[in-house]
Amino acid sequence: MTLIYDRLQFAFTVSFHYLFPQLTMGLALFLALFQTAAIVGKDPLADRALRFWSKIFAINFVFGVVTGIVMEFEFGTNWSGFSRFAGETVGQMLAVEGTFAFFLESSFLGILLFGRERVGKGLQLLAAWMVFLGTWLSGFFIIGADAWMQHPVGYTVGPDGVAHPSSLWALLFNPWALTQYAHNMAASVVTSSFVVAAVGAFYLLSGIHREAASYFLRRGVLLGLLSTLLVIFPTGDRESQQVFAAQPTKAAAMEGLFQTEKGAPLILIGQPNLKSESLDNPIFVPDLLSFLTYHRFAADVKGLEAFPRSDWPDNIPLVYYAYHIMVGLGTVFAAIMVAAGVMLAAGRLGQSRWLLWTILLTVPFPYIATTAGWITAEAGRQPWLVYSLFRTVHGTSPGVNAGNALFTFLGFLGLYLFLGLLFVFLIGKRIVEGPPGESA
Amino acid sequence: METLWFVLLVVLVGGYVVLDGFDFGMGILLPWLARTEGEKRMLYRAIGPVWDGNEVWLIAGGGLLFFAFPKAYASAASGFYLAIMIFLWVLILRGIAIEIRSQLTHPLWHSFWDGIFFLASLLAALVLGGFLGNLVTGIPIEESGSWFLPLWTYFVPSSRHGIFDALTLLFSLLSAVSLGRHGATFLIVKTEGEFRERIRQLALQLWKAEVALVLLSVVLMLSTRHLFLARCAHRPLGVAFLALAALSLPLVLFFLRRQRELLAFVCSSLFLLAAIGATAVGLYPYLLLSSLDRAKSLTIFNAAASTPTLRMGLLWFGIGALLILGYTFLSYWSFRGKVRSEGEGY
Ligand code: HDD
Ligand code: HEM
Ligand code: HEM
Repeated sequence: MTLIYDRLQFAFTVSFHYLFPQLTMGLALFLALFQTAAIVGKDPLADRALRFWSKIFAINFVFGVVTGIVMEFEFGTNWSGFSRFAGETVGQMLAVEGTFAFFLESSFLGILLFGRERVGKGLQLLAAWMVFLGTWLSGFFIIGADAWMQHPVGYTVGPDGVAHPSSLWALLFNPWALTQYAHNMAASVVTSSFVVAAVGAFYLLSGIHREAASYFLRRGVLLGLLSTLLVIFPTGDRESQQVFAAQPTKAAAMEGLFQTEKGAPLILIGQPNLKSESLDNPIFVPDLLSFLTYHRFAADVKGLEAFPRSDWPDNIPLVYYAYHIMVGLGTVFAAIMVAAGVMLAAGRLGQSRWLLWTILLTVPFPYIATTAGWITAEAGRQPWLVYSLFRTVHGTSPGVNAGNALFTFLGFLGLYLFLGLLFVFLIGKRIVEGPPGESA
Repeated sequence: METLWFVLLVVLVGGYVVLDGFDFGMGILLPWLARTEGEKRMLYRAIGPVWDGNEVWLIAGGGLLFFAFPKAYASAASGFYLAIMIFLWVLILRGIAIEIRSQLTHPLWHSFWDGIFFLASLLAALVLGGFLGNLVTGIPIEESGSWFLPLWTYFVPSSRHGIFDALTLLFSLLSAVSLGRHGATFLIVKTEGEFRERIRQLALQLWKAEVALVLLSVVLMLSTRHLFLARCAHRPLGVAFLALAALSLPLVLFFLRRQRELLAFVCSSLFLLAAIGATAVGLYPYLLLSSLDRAKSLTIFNAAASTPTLRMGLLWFGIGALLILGYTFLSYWSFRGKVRSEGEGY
């Protein structure tokens, strides 16, 4: 029972946390570009964009900060078995993150937000890029920590039953981490591009703040076009090849593949049936999965039956749906951004109301896609906490009983519901107020 | 090697208490100090640009504990489960309050977040004091090595107390008063005029209460013949820290009276650091003292990561520490000087 509450609590708190950093990281890139255009290019529109978006960035940032500290301590509170095992590896990555990334971010953010009247242009520009660097570094280190759990490298397990790292470089430059990082960062730029473009679309559709709106829309669509393509190829493609190569049980669950097949089909739609160990109502493209993973139509793809049941992820349908939601949405995003890019190039994006409406309404979906992606990665990793090395059941805190774990889980549900409402209200208010210094 | 990491850990914790301590202190004093919206805004502006950076000391300290002493991190975090979760909730509300308050101009909105900020800061200070109390009095680490403390049992100090009993509550109270006074000392540096004078008067009042509580807890520890003070007094470094604490606290009063605001703040910080230093020396080499069986305690040696790992850590932490000092300086320097109530932000 405790295990279930521990897992629910971790999944809930980390998923909620990640709603904020993905926008932080993507928007940090936008802010750095706006600041550069404003200071180096002396573009007054860029300066207004910077002022508007840095207000939103600040609100988003604080929600990310306060929800982030939670997991840092949850490793010890709920996963003390895991902490004993992985302190020298995962704990080390977290310590590195705190030391190198968070101090950088928090110090320069103050200057970026409130330094206008206090420090010179040079320092303001530096601050914008340093905030960008800090947020992207923190993403790098935390993904390094996660990647070690997905694909442990550079360690030996001593007689004390603890994983000892053999070198820092092995931890930092885990090949798994590099792939995962590239994909994840591309995804966070997708999120922020849709947000920036959608605010532009919203103003244009309402017929207000035209100048700023076109500026947002244009920047959003440009970066959006780039990132929606990058998230699929090469990064998404590399991610799935890597999973097939190193985590065959997760891969089979993602694809809903129960039997090993030569010329495995790519499933588009279908519902995994755990009783019959097959997919209900499948719609598929024959041989395509074999081709995508091994670049040969007749290649063997291992199904779940090739592995002992005790190594199957414990929630196969969840992994399967999460993966299909991510990939499905990724395709839709790319289509929208390509269409928007074409219209932009033709100079007609501002007039095509249906496309503006589409961009506006798509805003929640990148968040859904990233959450689904993480569920694929993390629920697919089960039943291992550290893949094929350390099982999730051994990770919990022996002293914490189910009553206390449920108490804090419910506490987080309530508190985060409140925070979520607050966030939507405040951001909505900012957007309605509009960018500074213009008479509509 | 273990000792070195213990020292680094104590430095981070000390940095956290000194820096975030004045943020909590400001929150605790808010309802007593600020009469007008302008005054409140000045108080928020004094900590606005730096509170997040201050909190990072906690994150870095937690990360360091996790990495350098994994067994102590695992043991302490799961054993203090409820207190830590409450501390996290309180920190969430505190951070949100500071940043969100200025987003609307409605007076009720302001009052609401002022209230949340006050309660969260007060609770945070109480919980921090409680942690300190438990470190000093010891924890019921069982035969199996696992333990779990309820928040309280009967409030009677015993080897099987909850997180809060009469003795640790004394530490909580001391922590709230000390941090309140520390916060006031910081705010004097940041304000001017009549407002500053009022803060100074309050600081002087709090100073008296603080001294009374310090004396009370020292007497209590002496009368229970607690091993902690004795160990501290037998070590030269411990004596030095005790002397520094005993010297800096009166100096705070002296400089407050003389209106030497910066020196008063420095002494106030020194006092907190010396108190933490003395605690660390008194505990060394214990990290978590078992109140049931001394042999079950976690020491820096049996809880540490392996030596090659610790050596690996020195490499990056050395570079990191220099950067941290640089950023902290840059950030405080950019926002030096007195705060005003008009203009942008908070
Ligand atoms: C905008 C969001 C988004 C979009 C459109 C996609 N992804 Fe993704 N994906 C993520 C956002 C994401 C993520 C949230 O960033 C994840 C979670 C873990 C990670 O590092 O990245 C992720 C993980 C992730 C994983 C799991 C990696 C692991 O188990 O460690 C795979 C196999 C893919 N992705 C593959 C794809 C493919 C083939 C896509 C093609 C359309 C795709 N993703 C689109
Ligand atoms: C921000 C993005 C992330 C999301 C949305 C996410 C999501 C999840 C989910 C859904 C679970 C529950 C899996 C299950 O029980 O079936 C989980 C578990 C877990 N994740 Fe992640 N995760 C994220 C990042 C990370 C990172 C960066 C780390 C490590 C540093 C991490 C470490 C863990 C741990 C320790 C557990 C608990 C043990 C387990 O159930 O396997 N997660 N996460
Ligand atoms: C178990 C996993 C995680 C832990 C323990 C964690 C921890 C934290 C902490 C303590 C903070 C606050 C920093 C501050 O005070 O400045 C934070 C913020 C942040 N985290 Fe996480 N985090 C996790 C997952 C992630 C993931 C998966 C990413 C991105 C890939 C991420 C990216 C960020 C970023 C960019 C920030 C900066 C501020 C913001 O939230 O907007 N975190 N995180």
